Amino acid sequence: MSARAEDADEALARQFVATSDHGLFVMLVERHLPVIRRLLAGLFNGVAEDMEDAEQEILAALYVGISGFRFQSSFRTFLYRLCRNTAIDMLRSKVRERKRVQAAGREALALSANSPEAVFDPDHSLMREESRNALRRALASLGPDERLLVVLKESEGMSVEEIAHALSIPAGTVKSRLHRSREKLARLLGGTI
Amino acid sequence: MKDKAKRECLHIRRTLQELHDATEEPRGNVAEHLLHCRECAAFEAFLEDLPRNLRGTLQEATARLPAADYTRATARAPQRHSLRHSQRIALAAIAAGFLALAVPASLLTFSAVRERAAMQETVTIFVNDLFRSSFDEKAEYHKAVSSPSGEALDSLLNDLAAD
Repeated sequence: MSARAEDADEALARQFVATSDHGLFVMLVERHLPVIRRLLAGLFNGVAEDMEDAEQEILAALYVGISGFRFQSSFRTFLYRLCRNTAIDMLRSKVRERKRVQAAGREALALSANSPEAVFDPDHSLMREESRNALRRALASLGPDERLLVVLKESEGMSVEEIAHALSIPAGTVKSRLHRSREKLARLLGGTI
Repeated sequence: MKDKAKRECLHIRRTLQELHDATEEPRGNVAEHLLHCRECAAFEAFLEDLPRNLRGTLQEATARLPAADYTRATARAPQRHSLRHSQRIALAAIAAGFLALAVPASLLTFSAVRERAAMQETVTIFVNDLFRSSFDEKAEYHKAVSSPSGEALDSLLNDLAAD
């Protein structure tokens, strides 16, 4: 995200804090909603109901929490932390999540075992529906933090340093977790992408 | 030989991830390895396709969502705020309770420690005085100052002499 876009975010956030104008809040959130939704899709395994619940929770938390934002970091950093914390709290409170992850992991492993060579075919440029489902299941087999890192890096194109800053973790940790997560995804998706 | 090849592949895949993170293309010995190693070439293709595939998958999942319901979210905000407020009050009450118990307890402990130290000091002085000069001399002195009748010390001295 450019410095200009970050300035615009900050200006909108400051105005909203000063005026509590509902329209400004909507404008501010709309700028980031597609990213928030992709993050939630990654974290909640694309389950629409869970994503909607989490989105509502995040919007409510943002509406209240923004007045406590000190503008010492970028608004995007503040928002990603809020999304991460809210979503992970929700995931932890859902016992069914663990069951879903275990089931997805077993399913993905079975898929991988069915492809004897576990080799990717680089000639496949278009992803079939089945492949997307496999990717979704493989992603679900990662832990919530690993999923978040993979989504921020691969889907949102953030650099390792940007992710480290946004989530307040060392860049080396981001890198090693990403490496492990991608290796696992590649192993699980052998032959399906 | 097989192990060496496996180690080389691991090294190449690690390098491929580094290059992927730095948005750089494979070159030199990495590019050369990819020409003859099918698995590593496939891994490279996986890394290259991952951003597009993942974004497509996530985008597809978000397409099913309705428009964001700001009215509901902001209507829930005061509840959330009051919840946070009540959480703060509960935390403050717990902290006050803790202080109410911990402060007197620590004061009692402190005064007990001081009293013990004073007793130790008194006993130490007494024992030091007792053994500084001749035992009998000091026994006579303490008999005179410790109690008006000196009966307790008398009986102690008698017991000691009897032993």
